[in-house]
Amino acid sequence: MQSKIIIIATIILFIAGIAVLFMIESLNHNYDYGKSWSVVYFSKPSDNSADFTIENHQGADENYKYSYQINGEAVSTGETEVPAGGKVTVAPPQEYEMKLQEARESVSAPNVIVDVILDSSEYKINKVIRNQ
Amino acid sequence: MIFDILKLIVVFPIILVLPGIFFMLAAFGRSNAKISFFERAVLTVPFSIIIIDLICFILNRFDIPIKGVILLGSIIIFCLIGFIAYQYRFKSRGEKNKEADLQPDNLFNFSNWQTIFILLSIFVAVFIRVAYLSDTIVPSATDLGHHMYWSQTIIDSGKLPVYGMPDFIIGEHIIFAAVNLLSGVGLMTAMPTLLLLFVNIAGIFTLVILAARLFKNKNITAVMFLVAGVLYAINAPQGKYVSGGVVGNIIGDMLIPVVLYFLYRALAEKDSFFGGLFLFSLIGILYTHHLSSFILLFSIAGIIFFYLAVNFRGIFNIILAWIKIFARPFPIAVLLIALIFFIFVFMPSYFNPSAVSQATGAPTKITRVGLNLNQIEMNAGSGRLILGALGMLLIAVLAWKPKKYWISFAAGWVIISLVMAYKPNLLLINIPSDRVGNYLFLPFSILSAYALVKYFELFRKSASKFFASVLLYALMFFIITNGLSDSADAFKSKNQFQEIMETYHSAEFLSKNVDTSKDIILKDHINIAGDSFYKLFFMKDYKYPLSRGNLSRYVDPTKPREICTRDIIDDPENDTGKACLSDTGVDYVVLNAQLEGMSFEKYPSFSKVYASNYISVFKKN
Repeated sequence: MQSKIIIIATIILFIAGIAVLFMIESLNHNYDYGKSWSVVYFSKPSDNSADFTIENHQGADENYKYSYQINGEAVSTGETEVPAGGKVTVAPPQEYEMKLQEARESVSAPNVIVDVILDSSEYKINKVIRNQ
Repeated sequence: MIFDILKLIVVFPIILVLPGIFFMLAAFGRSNAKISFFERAVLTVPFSIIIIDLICFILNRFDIPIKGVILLGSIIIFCLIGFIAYQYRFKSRGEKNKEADLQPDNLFNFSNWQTIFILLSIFVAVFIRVAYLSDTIVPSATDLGHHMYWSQTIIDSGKLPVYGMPDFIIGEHIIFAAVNLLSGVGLMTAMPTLLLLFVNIAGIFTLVILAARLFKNKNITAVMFLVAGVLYAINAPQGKYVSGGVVGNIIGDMLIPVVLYFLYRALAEKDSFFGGLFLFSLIGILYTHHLSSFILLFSIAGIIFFYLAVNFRGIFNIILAWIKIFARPFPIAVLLIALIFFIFVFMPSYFNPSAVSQATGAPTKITRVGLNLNQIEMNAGSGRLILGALGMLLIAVLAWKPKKYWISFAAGWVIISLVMAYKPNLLLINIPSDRVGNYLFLPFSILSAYALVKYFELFRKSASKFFASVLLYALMFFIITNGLSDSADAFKSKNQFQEIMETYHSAEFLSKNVDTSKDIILKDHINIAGDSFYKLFFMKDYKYPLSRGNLSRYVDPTKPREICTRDIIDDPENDTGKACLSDTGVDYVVLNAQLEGMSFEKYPSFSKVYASNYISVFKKN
């Protein structure tokens, strides 16, 4: 009888362990739960598009400030509100294409920089735009 | 989430218990004097794992896709065959009444106090492991990522993979795929770790039943739960190997005691049926893990030679008796079936002359020349090492009966394990010594339990109760504090869940945006948590994406290694880096944003297309 109790108790303990660990993993296997980070990336990294996406995993709604630069020269600035756990894709401003054309006159492959700032954190991405 | 937990609670027994139950039913009937309920319950898990492997081998051999419904049907068919075999062996032959009369011996009929001690030990053993795993439960371990890639290929293709390398063994991967195919719970969840935890706990029990049969002392059996389950519960190869996904070791540590259990019973009880089960379980481990098989074969050889050496005068009679045990229909049938399996159904990937020659001979690397005493102490655990030595002494002084097999199993196993770890060149073993050292805990646990109980008994009879008590409590204090020190660290650790999720996010980003038919990705393994799971986002090839491994791996005196994955990250714009970029065709580089990612920003040949707090992705311009 005692050996049956030992086996049954082990099974019950294991099931409890499974439930606890599975729940911890499921909760934490999430970009937002208990986390505080952001990410900025070009929406299409392999072409000439300068659209970029901000994902907010800070745990609260945040206001991100961003700027476009071409070859180090500021083109435009802006800001966007991104809800907690959400993402916003930002398209370059109207003057971007014109500035890009101007840059191409001096450099064949201009370097487009997107600088996103949240409080003290800076997320800078860049892309070299070539003629296709 | 709740539904997934319920699915696992249903599927784990179907995969890990049910086939074993019917195998044991066919082997021993419903009740048998040879084996107790406790042993049958414990042995269902290792036999289930072996049987699931064999079922998948057969399905694969006949090109039947390994899918959920087919696997479930195959398990049901196996259970039916087991039931028919049981009916034929135990019912049709009129053994029903005889069977009912047989009562298994009472090795596992524990007293109330023993039961309470065992239950407490199991509770603490499970609690410590769960507490430790709670900080590492999001899949990120390197080995786990590698193994899950192969399990995912089984799931995706419905076939067993062709590895093309001797590093992986099929038995390490089938079981995870099987649980996924039946439950639908993914490999990038807690499931693989929970499965390993289950096997790890089952491993405590297999060690316990071996010790119970060797010593036939219920106090030692009860103490085994403490020694094997609670002491050093986190150190490798326990909790750390569960979270680390060291699959082969965990399954091997469960199967090695099973093989030795049947060998002991075959020899000690001169029982050819146990001899056949010894061979069957040995074949199971051969299909599961090469290193465990290698260690086991040496352990068996050590035990056998030890027994023959201490019984030298009767050597011919002993060998004759062994031949009589194994030259019987059942062991021979198992061997023949195994041979057919090896030749016609599925050959383990490491069964080739080059893999064998790599593992044998004089040590070729500094990491293979043996462990020093400090390293042995770390591997076995100080407390276990001291108790093991005490156990050896007590056996030699108080219990020396060379004709008793348990002496050879307890002492011979420890001696051969120590030689393998300390002086591997004496046995011409050429494998990493620290991996060998991970198996020391098995024989040392058995000797430790013996030593603790015998030490206690010895001093209870001693003339001076005062000194006896002081010595006993001092020893117990040391054993408990030392044995639990690693577990205390488990409660101080900090999880890396955010870093792991940022790694997953970058992999998801790349998997959506790159063309895997032409784009080559290089990621860093050294400074990125959970990077080995990158390959599961692409499922293109085991070696996709490329990876910069630990720097020591690039310096190998035995063979030249590729160095471009290191040199590109080191400096992509010097001559070596440029040549490597050209040779490898790397388009994207994934780095830790705070380390190499910072320095990579200065290279004009790369653009940073992805920036998070932890990960930077660079694209070659």
